[in-house]
Amino acid sequence: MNVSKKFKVFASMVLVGVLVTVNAVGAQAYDGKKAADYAKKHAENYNSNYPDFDKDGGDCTNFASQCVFAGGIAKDPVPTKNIKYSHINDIYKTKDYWNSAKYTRTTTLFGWTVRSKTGFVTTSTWSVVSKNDSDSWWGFYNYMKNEGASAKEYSVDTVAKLNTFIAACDVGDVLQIRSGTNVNKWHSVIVTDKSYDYTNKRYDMKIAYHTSNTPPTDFRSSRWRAFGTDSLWTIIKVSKI
Amino acid sequence: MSNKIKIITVVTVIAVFCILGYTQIYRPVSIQPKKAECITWDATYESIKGFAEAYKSGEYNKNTTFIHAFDGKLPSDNPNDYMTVYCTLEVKNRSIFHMSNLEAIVLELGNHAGNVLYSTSSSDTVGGGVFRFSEKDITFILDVYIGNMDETAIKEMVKGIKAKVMYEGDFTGVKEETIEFSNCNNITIENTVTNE
Repeated sequence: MNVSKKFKVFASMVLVGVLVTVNAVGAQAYDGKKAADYAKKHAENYNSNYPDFDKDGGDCTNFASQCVFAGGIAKDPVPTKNIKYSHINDIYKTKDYWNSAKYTRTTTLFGWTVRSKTGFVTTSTWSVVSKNDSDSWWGFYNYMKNEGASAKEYSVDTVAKLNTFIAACDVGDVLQIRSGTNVNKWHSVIVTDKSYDYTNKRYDMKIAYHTSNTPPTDFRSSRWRAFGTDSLWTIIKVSKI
Repeated sequence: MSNKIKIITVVTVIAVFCILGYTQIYRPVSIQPKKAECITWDATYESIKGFAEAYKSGEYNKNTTFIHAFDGKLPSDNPNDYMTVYCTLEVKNRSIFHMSNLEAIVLELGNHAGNVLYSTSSSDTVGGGVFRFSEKDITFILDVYIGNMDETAIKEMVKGIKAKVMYEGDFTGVKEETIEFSNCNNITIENTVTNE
C-alpha cells in the first residue's frame, strides 16, 4: 500500500469516527430503565408537578411523556411570550414544543396588576397520542418521530406475532395502539420490564399506563387479550436530536 | 294576546323544559348494545392460564375482575374449549356536560351462566369518559368455557347478558343504567387459534 492509499484509509477512518461521535453527542441519551422506574413509581400515584387529564380525555400520553422525560429526554418549553390566558390549564396545540409546566401570565396597567393567571400549559405533543388526519398540530407520535424516534407497527393476533412483537420491545419504549379499522392511534403505554422465559424460549414483558391506572402488568397473560384481536401496536423507540 | 296563543306558548315552554330536563339531567346519555364479538384466539387461552395463577395467589384487580364460575382450575387443556366475548356498547352523550368515570360491568348472566368463568369491566383496559355531544364505544369482556356449547348456545348466552353502565357528571352526579343484550343482533363467532 503506498503512502497516498494509506492516507486515504486513515482519513476515512477518522471521518467515520468523527461522524459517529457527533451523532452520539448530538442525540440525547435515553435511559429506558429510568423511564420505567418513573412509571412504576407514578402509575398509581400521580405526580402533582403535572396536570391530571384523567377526567379530560385521558392521561395516558401525559404519563408516557413524564416517563420519557424521566428517561433523559429534555423538555422543549413554549416561550413565555407565546402564552395567552386561554392556554393556561389547557392544551397548547403545536408542532414545535414538547412540554408541560406551570406558567403565569400577568397584565399590568401603570405598574398595577390588573389580571393574573397561573396554571399548567401542556403541549399537544406532550399529552395527545397522535394527530388525527384533520389536525394541523402534532401529538406525541408525530413530534417524537420528527425528532428522530423510530416507530414500527405490529399486528399481534397470533402467538407467533406476539413473540416477535415482545422481542422487539425494550424497557422504556412507548407503545401506541390503534384499531385495525381506524388509522388514528388512541392510547399510549410504556414498557416497564422485559425478561426471557428459558422454559418456553420466549420473551415476556410488562406494561404500565394511566387511564385506567395500571401498574406494571404482564402483557402476554393479561393485556394482550384485553386490548383485543384487531389492535395494532406501534413501538416508539425514543431519541431526540 | 289571545288565549289560544297563550296556551300554545305555555305548552311549548313546558315541552322545551321537559326535553331539556330529560336529555340534560334525567338521561343525559343514551346507551345501546353495539356488538358482541365471540372469539377464540391465541390470547384467550394464554389469558385464562395466566388468570388461573393470579386467582390462586389472589393477585388480580378485584375492582375490575369478577368471578362467575371459576375455582382456579381449568375445565380443559384444549385452547379451543375457551372463548373471549367482547361486548361493546355505543354510548352517546347528548348533554352539554362532560360525563366521566364511564364504566360497564356484567350485571346478570342468563342461560349458560355456569360457563362464564370470569369477566372484566370496561375500565379494566381503558377508562375515561365521554365528552359533551360526542359518542364513544366501551367494551367489557367475558372469558367463557365453551367445551359443551354449540353456536346456538353461545348466542343464547350473549342474549342473556345484562350490563350495568355507570357514569358521572359534575351536574348530574353518578348515574346507573341497565342494558340488555337480548336485542343485540350483531353477534359474531370466530376461531383463529393457531395452536403454536
